[in-house]
Amino acid sequence: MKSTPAHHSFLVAALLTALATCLHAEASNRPGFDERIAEDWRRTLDEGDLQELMATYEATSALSDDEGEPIAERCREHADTLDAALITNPVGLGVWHAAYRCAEALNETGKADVRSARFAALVRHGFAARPDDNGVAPVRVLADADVWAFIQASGQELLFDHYDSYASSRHLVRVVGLWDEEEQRERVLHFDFLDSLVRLSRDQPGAGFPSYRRVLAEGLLKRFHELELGAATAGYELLLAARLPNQGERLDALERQAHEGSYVAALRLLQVCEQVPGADCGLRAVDALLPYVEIRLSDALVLLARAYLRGEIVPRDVKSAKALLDAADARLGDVGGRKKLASLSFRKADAANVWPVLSKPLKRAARGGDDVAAMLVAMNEVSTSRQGKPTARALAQLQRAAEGGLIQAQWLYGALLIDQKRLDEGHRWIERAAESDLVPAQRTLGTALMSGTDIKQDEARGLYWLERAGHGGSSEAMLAVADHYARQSGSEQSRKLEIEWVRSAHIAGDPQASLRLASVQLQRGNDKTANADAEGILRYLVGRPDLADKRVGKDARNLLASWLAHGIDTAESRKEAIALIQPLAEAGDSEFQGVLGGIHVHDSDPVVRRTGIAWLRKASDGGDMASTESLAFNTWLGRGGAPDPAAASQLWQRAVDAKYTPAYNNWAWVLCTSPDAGLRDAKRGLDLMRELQTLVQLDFGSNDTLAACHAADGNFDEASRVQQDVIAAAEAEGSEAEQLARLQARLALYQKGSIYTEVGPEPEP
Amino acid sequence: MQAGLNPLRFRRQQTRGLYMMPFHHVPSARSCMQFNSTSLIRRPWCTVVTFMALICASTGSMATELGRQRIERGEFFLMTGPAPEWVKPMEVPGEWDAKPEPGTVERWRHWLVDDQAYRVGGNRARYRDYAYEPVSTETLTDAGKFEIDFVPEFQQLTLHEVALRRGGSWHDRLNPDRITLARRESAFEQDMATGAVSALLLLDDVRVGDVVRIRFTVVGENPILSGLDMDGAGFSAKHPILERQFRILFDPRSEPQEFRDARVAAPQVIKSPGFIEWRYRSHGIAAQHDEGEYPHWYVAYPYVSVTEKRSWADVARWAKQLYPEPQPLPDDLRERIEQWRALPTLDARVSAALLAVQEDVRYFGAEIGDNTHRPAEPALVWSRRRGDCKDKSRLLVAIFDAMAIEAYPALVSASSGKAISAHPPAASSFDHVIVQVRDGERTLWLDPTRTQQRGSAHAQSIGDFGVALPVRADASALVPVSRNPDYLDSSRVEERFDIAEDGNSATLSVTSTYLGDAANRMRMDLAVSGVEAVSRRYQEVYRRRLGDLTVAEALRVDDVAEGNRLVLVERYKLASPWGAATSGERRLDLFADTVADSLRMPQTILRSTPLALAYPQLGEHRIELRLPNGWRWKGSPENFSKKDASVDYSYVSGQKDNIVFLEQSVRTKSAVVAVDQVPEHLKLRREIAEIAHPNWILALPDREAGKQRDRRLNALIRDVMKENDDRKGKDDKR
Repeated sequence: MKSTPAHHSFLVAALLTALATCLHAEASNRPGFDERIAEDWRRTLDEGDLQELMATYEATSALSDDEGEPIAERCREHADTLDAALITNPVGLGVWHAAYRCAEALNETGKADVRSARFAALVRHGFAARPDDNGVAPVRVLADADVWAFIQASGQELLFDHYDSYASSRHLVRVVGLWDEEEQRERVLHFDFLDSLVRLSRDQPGAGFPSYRRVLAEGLLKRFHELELGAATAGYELLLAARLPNQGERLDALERQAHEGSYVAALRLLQVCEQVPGADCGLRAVDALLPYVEIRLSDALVLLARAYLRGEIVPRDVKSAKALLDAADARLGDVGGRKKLASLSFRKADAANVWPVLSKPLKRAARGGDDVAAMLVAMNEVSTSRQGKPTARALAQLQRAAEGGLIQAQWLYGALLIDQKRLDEGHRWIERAAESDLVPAQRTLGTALMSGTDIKQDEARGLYWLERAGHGGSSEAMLAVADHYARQSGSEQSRKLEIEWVRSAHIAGDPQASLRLASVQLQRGNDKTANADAEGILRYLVGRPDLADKRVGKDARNLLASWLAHGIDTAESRKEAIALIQPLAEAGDSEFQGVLGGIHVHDSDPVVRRTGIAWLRKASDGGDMASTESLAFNTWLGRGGAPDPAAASQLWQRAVDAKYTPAYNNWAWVLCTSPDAGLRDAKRGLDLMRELQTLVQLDFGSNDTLAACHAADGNFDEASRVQQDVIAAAEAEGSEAEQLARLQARLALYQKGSIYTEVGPEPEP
Repeated sequence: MQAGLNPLRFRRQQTRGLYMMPFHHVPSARSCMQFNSTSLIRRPWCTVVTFMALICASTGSMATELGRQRIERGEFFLMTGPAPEWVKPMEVPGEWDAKPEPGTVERWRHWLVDDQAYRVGGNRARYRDYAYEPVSTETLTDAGKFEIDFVPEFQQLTLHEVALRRGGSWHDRLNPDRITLARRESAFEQDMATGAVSALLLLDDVRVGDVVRIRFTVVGENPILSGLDMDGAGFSAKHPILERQFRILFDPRSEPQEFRDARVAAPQVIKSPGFIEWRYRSHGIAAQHDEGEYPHWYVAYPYVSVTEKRSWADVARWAKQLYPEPQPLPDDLRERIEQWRALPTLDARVSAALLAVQEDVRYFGAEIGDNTHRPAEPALVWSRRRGDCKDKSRLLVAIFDAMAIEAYPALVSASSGKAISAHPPAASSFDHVIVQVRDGERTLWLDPTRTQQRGSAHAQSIGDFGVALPVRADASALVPVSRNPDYLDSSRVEERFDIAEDGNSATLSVTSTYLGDAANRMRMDLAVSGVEAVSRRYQEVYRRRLGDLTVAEALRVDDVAEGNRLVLVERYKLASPWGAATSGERRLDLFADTVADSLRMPQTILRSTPLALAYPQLGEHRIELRLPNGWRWKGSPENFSKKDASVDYSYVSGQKDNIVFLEQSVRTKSAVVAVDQVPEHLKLRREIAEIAHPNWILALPDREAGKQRDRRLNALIRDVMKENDDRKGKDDKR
C-alpha cells in the first residue's frame, strides 16, 4: 500500500515529523501544532453539522475505485462538489487526501501542492495535539476514512489494524501498526473518531450522558463488523467475548479468535490467562502468540518476555527475555520495548522478577533525557519504596516528566505532592492532567472538589470534573454524579438526571450501578416498563457466577427475591423467590435467612408465617439487623404468633444500638401510631426520630413518622407543619395518588387535633 | 460441475436495451430453429437477431420507387430509401420528461422504440425506429455502432434514416461508405450455420447527450413457416424508455389474437378498409433490473405477442407435413436395429438406440432455407453422421418405428419452456425438437441432441420444456412434458484425512459418486475438458484450500453405464493442510462444496421475481479425519436440520472411535422459490453458508505439544539473539 510518488516523500516526512513530536512539551508548544487548525477543529466540533460532514466523505469516496485510486474523469466531473467538501470539512484527512489525489490525477500541480500541504499539516497537528501519555492517547480524526487515508499516505507496510474492544472510555481506539522499512521501525499508532462523533451529535437526545457514547461505540463496531470491515471484527469479537457469562467461555472465545488470526485476541489471551490459575490456558496462549512473536511484532515480543520473566507459564529464562526485549527495543526505537514492559508490569512480584532487566536501560535512557523512562523509573521506585514514599530523586524525575508534559507524570506527581501536604501545588498538577483528559485525575479532582477534601469545596467544578471522568469511562465518577443529583431537593429533573447517570454506569458494566438502577426503577411504583427493566437487570446480575459471592450479587438476589415475592406477588413469583433464596438460607447465610423469613411472614397460611418468623429469628441471631428489625415489626404485629410488644421493643433496641436506621423509623412509627394507648410512647418515638436525624437526612417517609409522633405528643401544629412538607416532597417525587391521599388524610387529622393510629393485622390464632 | 454445453447463446447485438440474453439455464438444449423466427417470446423486438423473421422474398414489391438506392457489398446488398407507406412514423420527443428511479444513475436512454409490423395480404414486413442517447462516456463506444441482421435468402433490408440530434438540431448521418455487410456465423461455434448477414453501421463523432436515430425496414419471411409466425415486442428494458410503440397491421378480415403481459396496456384497435390496426403504446417506462436466475418459464420483462387467430392443431398440421414417411434406412443401420431389437427390455432397446443417435451422429445444423424447419431424411442423417435436433429426432423416431416402438417427434421451446402455452399458437414458438416415446400408459421424453447420457432411458434428463407439440396426425394441443420417471440427480463427495506421524502432513482421499444426471454432467465435463484438465482443476482447488500438495494417485474414473454411476477417486499428499497450527493444536478448515455450491447466494438478492432451483437434486458431502493416537477433537457432536418449502438441509458431526466426521446434505424439493418466499429462503441460505464451512480444532497430546512448543521457542530465541548480535555488530561498526 503505497502513496503516489509525487508527494510521497513530502507526506512521509510529515508523518515522521509528526511521530517524532509525540513526546515532550505541552501540546501547543510542540512542533506541528497549528493554532489555525486547532481553531478549525474547534469550530468543526462545536458548530459543524454531522450529516454535512459525513456527506463530504461520501462525495469523495465516489471519486476513486475499489483500490482507492482516483478516477480522473470522476474527479473532473465532480470538481465543484470536491471544492465544496473541502470548505465544509477543513479537518478530514480522508477528504483532503482524496482531493489531493484527484488533483494529481488531473495534473493540477498547484492544487495538488496546496492540498497535500494541508493534509500534511493536519497530520502533524493531529499528532502534536494529543495529550502526551507515552503515545497511548489516540490521534483525533473525524471519520474512519481518515485513518485509511493516513495509512495510504504513509507509504508504510501495514502490519496490523484493528479496533480495540470498547472499554467504556472516551475513545473507540483503532490501533494501527506500520512498518517503516527505511528506518526499520515498527510504529504503533492509535486513532479515534468516536469523540468527534459524540461532539457532533450534541443535539441528539441523550448525547450528554456517557451511555450515549457507549451505545454509539458498540453500534459502530457491530455495524463495521457486519460490513466486513476487517479492522472492526477483532474489536467486536472481543466485545462479545467480554460479555460471556463465565470465564471459561470468555477464554474459549479469545482462543478461537486468536486462532482465526486476531492479533489483539492473542495478546489479550495471554494477559487474561496469566491471571487464571493453571498452566494449560497459559500454554495455549503462548501457542497463539508465537506466530506474532515469530514475525517480531513488538507487543508480542514484550508479552512473551514478561512471561519468561514471571516464570509462571513458561520456565523463567532471563536471557531469553532480554533477547526478546532487545528485539522489541530495536523495533520500537530507543528503549521502547522495555518502556512498554515497564508500563505492563504492575504486580508486586514484578518488582523482583521483571524490573531487574528494565532498571539499568531505563535509567540510562532517563539520564539521556527520556522523560517517559524517567517517569517509569520513578513510578517503580515509588511503588517499591516503603509506605509508597518517593525518594527525592524519584520526585525530581517525576517533576521533570510532569513539566515535560507527560500526563501520567503530572497526575502521579500531583498525588505525591498532596501526600506531602503540598496541596495547592499538587492539585494544580492534577488539574493539568485532568485537562488532558486523564480520567483518574479528573475523578480524583472531582471527588476532592465535591467533598472539599484537601481543597476548597466547589461543587460546581467538582461536578464538572466528575462528569468529564464519567464521559471518560469511570463508572465511579458516573455514580458520584448520580449521587450529586440524588442529593438535590428531589425534583423530578434531578431524579431523571440521577437515573441517567446511574444508567450510564450500568451500561458501562458496573454491577453496583446496575443494582442501583434496578432499585431506583422498582421505586417507581406501577411503571410496568421500569419494573420490567429492573427485573431484567436483577436477573442478569443474579445469573453472573462471578458476582455470586460478592456483595452486589447477594444484594441483587435479595432484591429480586423481594420483588418477586412482594412486588409481583403471585404464587408463581413467590415460589421463584423462595427458590432463589432458600438454598443460601439453608447454607447458613443470615442475610438470606432474613429475606426468606420476610417472604414467608406475608404468606396467607399461618403455618408458613410461623416458619417465616423462625427464619427471621435465625437471621437475627446470626447478626442480620434487617432481620432483627423485621422480626421486631412482625412480633409487634403478632404475625406468626401472639403480639409481643415487649419482645419487639427489645429487638428494636438491639437494632437501634447497632445504628440500623430503618429500626428507628419503624419503632417510632408503632410507638406513635399504636391504637393501644398503653403502647403508645410519643416521647420515645420523638427521641428516636431526633436521633435518626443525626444519622441521616430524613426522607418524606421518615418525616411522615416524625409528624405522627408530634401529633401523638400533642403538638398538632408542628405535626401539621411537618406533614405539609411531607406532602410537598411526596408530590415532587411523583408519588402515587393513593399514597398522597393517605398523607393528606393524616394532615387533615392533625389539623383537626387528632392523632393517627394504625391497626395491624389480626393476631395469630 | 459443468452442466453441459449450452448452445442456446445468441449473438448479442449492439442495439441497446431491449435485447436480452437468455438468462436461465437450459441444460444442453440446442436450439436448431431459433434464429429465423420473428416471434421469440423472450426476445423483445429490438433484438435485431429476431429480424431473421421468416418473410416472403417479395423484396421489391412493397418498396416505393422514389429515393431508393442500392448499396452492394460483395454478394450482398441493402437498400436505402423512404419508409413504406403503411408506416406511420412517430416523433422523437424533444424533452426527456421521465424521472429516474431514486438511487439510480442513468447510462443510456431509449428515447423512442417504435416497431411496426405489416401482415396484410400474406406479406411480412417489420419497421423499426430506434432513437437512443448515450448518457455516460462508457457507453459511447456502443453508441457509435449499430448492427442489423437479416437473411438475404428471403429478406431485404431498407435503411431509411440515420440521424443525430445535438443541441436541438437533427443532422443526417446516413453515410453508405460507413456501412458494411458480412455473413456472420458466430453461431458456428455452436455448430449451426444460419445464413444470416449483418449490416454494421459506424457513426463518427457521437458524444454524450447526443440522440441517435436509426430507422429501417426488413421485408420478407421464411416461406417454410407458411405464415404461421408471430410478431412480438418487449415493453421494458435495462435502461429507461421514453416512448414505446408496437403497431401491427392485419388483414381486414383476420381475427388477431394476443398474449399481453398484465403490465402492458391494452391496444388501441382501429379498423379500416385496408387493414385492422392494433397499437400498443407506453410512455415513460422505467429501467428494469435483470435479476437473473429466473425459472425457465418465467418472463421477467413485459411482453406482447400477436398473430392471426389459429389453433395448435393448425400448427401441428403444418409440422406434420414437414415430417413425411422416411425413406428406407441404410443397411448398416438396419443391422444395428436388429441387434437392439434383441435386447431383453424395452428400456434397453430405447436406451441403445438413443445412445447411438446421440453419440454416433454429430450435431450440426445448417439452418438455411427450408432446412430451418424441415428435417433431412433419416437415411441421409445417418450416412453423413450429422444433423441438428429435428434431423436427429426424425432419425430416432424412424429407428423406433423400425423397432415397433411408438414414438413421435415433438416440438418444444428451449428458450421459453411452458410460457409458450400462454401465447397465441405459432410455428415460430418452437426452437427445438425432441422425441416422445409411448410405452403403454407411460410416456418417455428423449433428447437426441444430448450427449454423455448413460443408463436407463427412463432416467434420462430432459430440459425444462414444460410443454410440447407432438408431430402426429391427431395432435391438437400442447401436452405437458414431465420428467422421466426414474430421473435422478445425486452427488456425494467423501473426503478422508489421515494425519501422518509427524503430526503435520496428511493424506487426503476423495471419492465422488455421481448418479443419474449428475453423472451425465460429470461425464460431459470429463469428455470436454479431459481427465487431466479436470484432475488439475481439482488439485488447484485443494491447493488453494489446503496448501502444498502432491498427487499420490492420479485421478481415477469408474464409469458404470448401467445404473449411470460415475465415481471419481483422488488421493493427495498434503504438506501441511492446517488453517492454523500452534504447538498444541491444529485447525482444519472444512469445505462442503457439494452443499455450499448448490445454495450459494444468487446474483440479485433483493428480488421481485421468483428464483430457480435445480430440482430434484441431492447433494451430500462427508468429511472424515482419522485422529492419531493421543490426539483429541475439541469440538462437540451436533445434529440438526434446517428446511423450508424448497430445500431440506441436514448437518451431523461427531466422533466415532478415532474418526471425526461431518456430513452435510441438501435436497431440493421444488424447482422454484416463489417471490414471496425468497427473503426467508435466502435467509436460510445465509444461515447455511455460515455453518457449511466450519473448522475442526484438534489438540495434540500434551507431551507432543510441549515438545513442539519448546522446539519453536528455542528456534525463536536463537534467531532473535542472532539478529540482536548482527544489529549490535552493525551499530558498533558505525
